Amino acid sequence: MYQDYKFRREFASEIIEAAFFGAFMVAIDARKNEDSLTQAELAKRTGKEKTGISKLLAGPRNWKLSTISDLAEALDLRLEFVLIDQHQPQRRFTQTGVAFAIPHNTSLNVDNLPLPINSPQQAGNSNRLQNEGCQLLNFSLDESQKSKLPLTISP
Amino acid sequence: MALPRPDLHTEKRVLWVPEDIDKVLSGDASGLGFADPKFFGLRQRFIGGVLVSGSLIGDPDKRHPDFERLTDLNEVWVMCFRAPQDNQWRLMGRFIQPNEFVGLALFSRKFLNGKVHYAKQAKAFEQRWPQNQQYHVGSKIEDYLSQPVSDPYVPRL
Repeated sequence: MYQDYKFRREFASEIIEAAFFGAFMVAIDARKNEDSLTQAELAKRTGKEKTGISKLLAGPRNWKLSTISDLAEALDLRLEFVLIDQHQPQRRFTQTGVAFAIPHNTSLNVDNLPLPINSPQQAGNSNRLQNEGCQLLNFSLDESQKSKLPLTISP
Repeated sequence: MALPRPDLHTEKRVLWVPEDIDKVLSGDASGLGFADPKFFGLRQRFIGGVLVSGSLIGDPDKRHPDFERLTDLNEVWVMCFRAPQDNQWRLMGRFIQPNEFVGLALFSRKFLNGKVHYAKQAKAFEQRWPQNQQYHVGSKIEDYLSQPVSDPYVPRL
């Protein structure tokens, strides 16, 4: 059981590092395109050397919370924390308490949301592709076939 | 092995693979040593729309992008599973449109060792690609992969 948690920890760490880095990269792109943000300006705002910024933006790292906070401030971003309960996916732990993501008076039905992408159904992706005529190293898929392929996973 | 299920209600990018490769990438193939979380992490990041990196010029300076477009070939890409370091794999394929990668051949990195042998396998892959199947052509990494994406050979700022 603890072996399973070890795997989960390392897997989640890989994803979360990329997720944090990716979100900041998208924000940096927006600031660059809309406000002409430069590396020098970002260095000044974060109180770091230009080389430090360059290293920071080179790829996902195990960032400290202070680094995340400094970057967020430098980019005029506000951080929010939401922890989703995997036992009750509608329950969220936030910085101000517990909240429930229950749709109320809306047309949104959580039962119709796509499944989490690691759901077992996803493994059937290639089965469907093969059913549509795709074989290993014998790939052939025209537009009419492609349109039949389910590109999203349904239960 | 059941993979963890992060609550990501998105499936932003599509990965098409044959059934036997699917089994490997989904953790259903046993005995191949695919036990490293980072191996599955790349698949997850790609499909879930989380950050991936890619380079259009291969990887001359060992900056280790997740996707490399091989040089001297016509739009042949490899998805690079770089972990664990002693059991690396490469999924060779092409983008048929932005965010849609078709991987048809999975190689152990050890098997591809040596530039000449690697190039020979890539060339063979290129020749096996069906003539009538279009593939995507772009000039920067964002033409192939939606944000968030990074190219280690192109400075961000």
